[in-house]
Amino acid sequence: MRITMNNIYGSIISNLDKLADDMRTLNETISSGRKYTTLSDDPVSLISALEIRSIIDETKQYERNVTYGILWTDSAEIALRQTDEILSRAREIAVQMANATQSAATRASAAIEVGHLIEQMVALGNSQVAGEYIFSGQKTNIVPFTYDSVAGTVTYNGDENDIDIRVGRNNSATINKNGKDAFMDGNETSNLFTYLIDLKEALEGNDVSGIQDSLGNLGDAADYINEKIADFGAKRNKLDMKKYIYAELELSNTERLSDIEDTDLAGAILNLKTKEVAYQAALTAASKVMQLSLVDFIQ
Amino acid sequence: MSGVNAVLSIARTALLTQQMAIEVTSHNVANVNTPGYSRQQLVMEPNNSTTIGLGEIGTGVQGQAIIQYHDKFMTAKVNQQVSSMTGFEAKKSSMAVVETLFNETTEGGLSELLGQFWAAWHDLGNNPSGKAERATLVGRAELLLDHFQGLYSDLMRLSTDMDINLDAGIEEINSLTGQIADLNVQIIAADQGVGAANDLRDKRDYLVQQLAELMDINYFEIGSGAYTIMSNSGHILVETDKSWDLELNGGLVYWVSSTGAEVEMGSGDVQGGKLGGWLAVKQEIIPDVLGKVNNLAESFIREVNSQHSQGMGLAPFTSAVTGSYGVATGATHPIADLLYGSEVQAGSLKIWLYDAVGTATEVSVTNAGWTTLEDAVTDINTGLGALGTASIYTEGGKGYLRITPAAGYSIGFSDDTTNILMAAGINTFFDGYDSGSIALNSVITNNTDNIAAGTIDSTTGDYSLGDNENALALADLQIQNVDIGGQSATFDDYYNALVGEIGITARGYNGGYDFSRNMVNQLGQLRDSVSGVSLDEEMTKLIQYQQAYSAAAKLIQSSDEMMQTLLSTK
Repeated sequence: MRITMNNIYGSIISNLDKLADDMRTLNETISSGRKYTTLSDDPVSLISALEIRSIIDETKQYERNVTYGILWTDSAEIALRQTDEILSRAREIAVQMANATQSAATRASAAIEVGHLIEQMVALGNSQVAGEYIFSGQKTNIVPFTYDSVAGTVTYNGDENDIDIRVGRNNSATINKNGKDAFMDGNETSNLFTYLIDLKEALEGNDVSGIQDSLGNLGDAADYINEKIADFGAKRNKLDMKKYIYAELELSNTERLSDIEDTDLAGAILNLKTKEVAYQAALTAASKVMQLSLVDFIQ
Repeated sequence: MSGVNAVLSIARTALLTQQMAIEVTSHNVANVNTPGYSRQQLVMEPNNSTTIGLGEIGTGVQGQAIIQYHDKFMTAKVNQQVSSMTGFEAKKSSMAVVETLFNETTEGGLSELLGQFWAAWHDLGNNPSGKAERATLVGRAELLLDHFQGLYSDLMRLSTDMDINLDAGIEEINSLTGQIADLNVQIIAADQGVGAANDLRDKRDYLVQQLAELMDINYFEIGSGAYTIMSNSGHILVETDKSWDLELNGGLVYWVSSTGAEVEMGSGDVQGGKLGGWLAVKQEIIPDVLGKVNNLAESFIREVNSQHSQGMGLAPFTSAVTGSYGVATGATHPIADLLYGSEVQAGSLKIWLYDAVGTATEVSVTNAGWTTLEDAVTDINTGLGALGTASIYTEGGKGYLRITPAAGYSIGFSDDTTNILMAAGINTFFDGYDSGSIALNSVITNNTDNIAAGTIDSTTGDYSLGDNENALALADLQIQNVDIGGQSATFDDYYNALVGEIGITARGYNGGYDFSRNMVNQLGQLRDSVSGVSLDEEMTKLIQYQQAYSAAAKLIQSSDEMMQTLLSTK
C-alpha cells in the first residue's frame, strides 16, 4: 500500500487517542472503585446489581421491622413476667392469710397490699412502647385497663385486633396480644384481675374460705400467665431467627454486589501499567516515524 | 525537420514540461494538509514525431493532461460510512445524557428513591399513629416525585435541544446543497475548456462529504460532470444548477419541492448523518423512554391511590371531601373523561358517617353502570339521605366529585370495589397522571393525619390508631405484579428493565459508532493511499524532474556548443 502523510499522521493520532481513552477508562474504574460508571459500560451486570441492591434494601427494612417487633414482644414479655411475680406474691399472701391463726387486722392490712398489687398489675397491663399501649389491640392510643377500686372492677377498653408487621415477602408476624387475651382469658367477669379483687375482698371480709378459693384461682392464673409468656417467647424466637437470617442475607448479598460492582484493583492497576507501557512505546515509535523525511537528506 | 535547431526545440519542450511537472509537484506539496485534496500528476507524452528518410524521429515531450488520483468508488464508500458514523455519534451523545438521567450506578436514582418510599410505608406500618413517620413518608414521596418530574423535564429539554440541532443542521444542509449546485455550474464550464477541473472537483467532493456527515445521501456524476444528489429516501437535493431546501416546521423536517409543497421527512427517511441521529433521538428514543417513565408513573399513581383510597387516616374527614381529578364541564361529566376513569367498574363502596360521639352509620352505594359523575352523585345521595350530600363542585371549568357530611357528622370510606374514589381522587395519596404531572394530593400535604395507614372495620365501622393494615398493604405493592403499560411486572422490575434497555441501547450506539469510525478510518486510509500526498514521494519526483530539467538545460548547452562549432568552422 502506498503510504501518505495522512495515513502516517492519521494513524498516529487515532492510535494514541485509543490508548489514551483506554487509560482514562481504567483510571476511572480505579479512582471510583467501580467496574462501571455509566449504564452502557455493562448493562447486564448493572441490572443484577440493581436487583441485588433492592434486595439488600428490602432485607434491611425487614430487619428494621423485626427489631421493632422484638421491642414489642420483649416489652410484653417483661410485663407478663412481672405480672407472674405479682401473682406469686398474691399467692404467698393468700397462703399466709388462709391460716386460721391470722387475725382480722392482719388480713385487713394484707388486703391493702393486695390492693397495691392490683394497681401494679393494671399499670403493667397499661405498658407502653414509644407512647403506644401494647395491650390494647389496635387501639394503641387508648388506655387498655381502668381500675375502679370502689366498685372493684377492671374494665378493658381496647379491641381484640392483632398488630401484624411484615417480616418478609408475604410473611407477617403478630407482635402483640390484646389485653383481654393476655390478662383476662377472654372473660371479663372471671380473670386475673377478678381473682386479685376477689382475694382483696375476701381479706377485707376476713373470709377464710374465700381466701382458700382464691388460692386455687391464683394457681390457675400463674399457669395461664406462664403460657402467655411462653407464647411471647415463641414469637421472639421467630423474630430472632428472621433477624439472624436477614443479617446473613445482607452480608452475602453485599458480597455479591461487591463482586459485580467493585473494581478488581490489582487487575486494573496491572492493566493500567500495560497500557502506560504501550502508550510510551507508541509515543517513541511516533517520534521516530515523524523524524523520517527525505527532505533531511537532500542537500 | 532535423538538425541543431531540432535539438534546441526538443530541449525547450523538455525544459517547459519538466518545469510544469515541478509545478504540479509543488502544488501537491503545498496541499499536503488540505482536506479533500487529491494528488495530481502531469501526464507526459512524446511530441508528434516527424518522418525522415530513416523513419520517425522524435520531437521532444509535451504535457498531455494533469490528472487526479481519485477513487470515486472508495470516496462514495467513505461518505456512506461517514453518514453512519455521524448518525451514531449524534445518537450516542444524546444517549449519554439519557444514561446520566438514569444513572443507577450512583446514589439517588429512582430505584433507590422507590425503595425508600416503600420503606417509609413499612415504618409507618410499625408505628401507624407516628407523626414523624408520616412526615418522613411525605418527604420521601416528594423526593420521588421530584425525581419523576426531573426525568420528565430533562427528557423534554433534550427534545428541545434536538430541535435546536435540527434547525442548525438544516441550515447547514441548505447552504451545502446550494454551494454544490454552484460548483456543478463552474465544473461544467471548466470541463468544456481544456481538461478536468481537478481542484473544483476536490472542493465539491469535500462539500459532499460534509453533506454526508449531516445526512445519508446517494449521489452520482452525470455526463456533463455535474453531481445529482438525493436523500436516502429518494428526495432530490441537488441536480446540476438547482438545489432543493429542507425546512424545519413545528419540530418536523420537511423537504420543499419545486412547487413549494412540503413533504415530511421522518426518522425513517433520514437514517444516517447527524440529522438522522437527531431525528431518531427526537422521534424514537425520547418518546420511547419518556413513554415508559410515564407508564411507570401512571401505574404507580394508580396503584398507590387505589390502595390508599381503601383506608382511613387518623380521623374521619370532618368537612367536605373533594376529588382531585375533574372532568371538563359540559352537559354532564362523563366518568370516562376522568384520567383514571377507565378503572371505574361495577361494584360497591361503603361510606361511614360518624356522629358527635363516634357512632358509625354504614351507607353502602352500588355502581350498577355509572357513566357520568351525575349518576354516582344520584346514587350516593340516595344512600346518604339526611346524613350528607354528594355534589359536583366546579372550579376552573372542571367538575369534581364532592361528598359533604351533614353538620355534626364526619365521614370515612371503605371497601371500594368500584374504584370511583381512586378515579375521582377522593381519599388518595397522589395527584397527576404521568411523570410530569405527578404531585401529592393536597389533602395529604395539608394534613399528614389523612395518610391512610389503617382501615375502617367493614362490619362495625370501627377504626383505631394502631391499625396498620393499609400501610402494610401499600408497602406490599413493592413486591406485587401490577399492570404497567400493558405488562404485568413489579415497579422495580419494570424500571430495571428500562434502565437495562437504555444501557443496552447506549452500548449499541457506542459500538456502532466505534465500528463505523474504524470503517471510516480504514476506508479513509485506502482512499488516502490513492489520493493522499506523500512528501517523500513528491521529494523524489522533485529531484527526478529537477534532474531532467538540468539535463534539458545541458541539451541547450550542447546544441549551443554544436552551433558554435558550426559557426566557428573556417
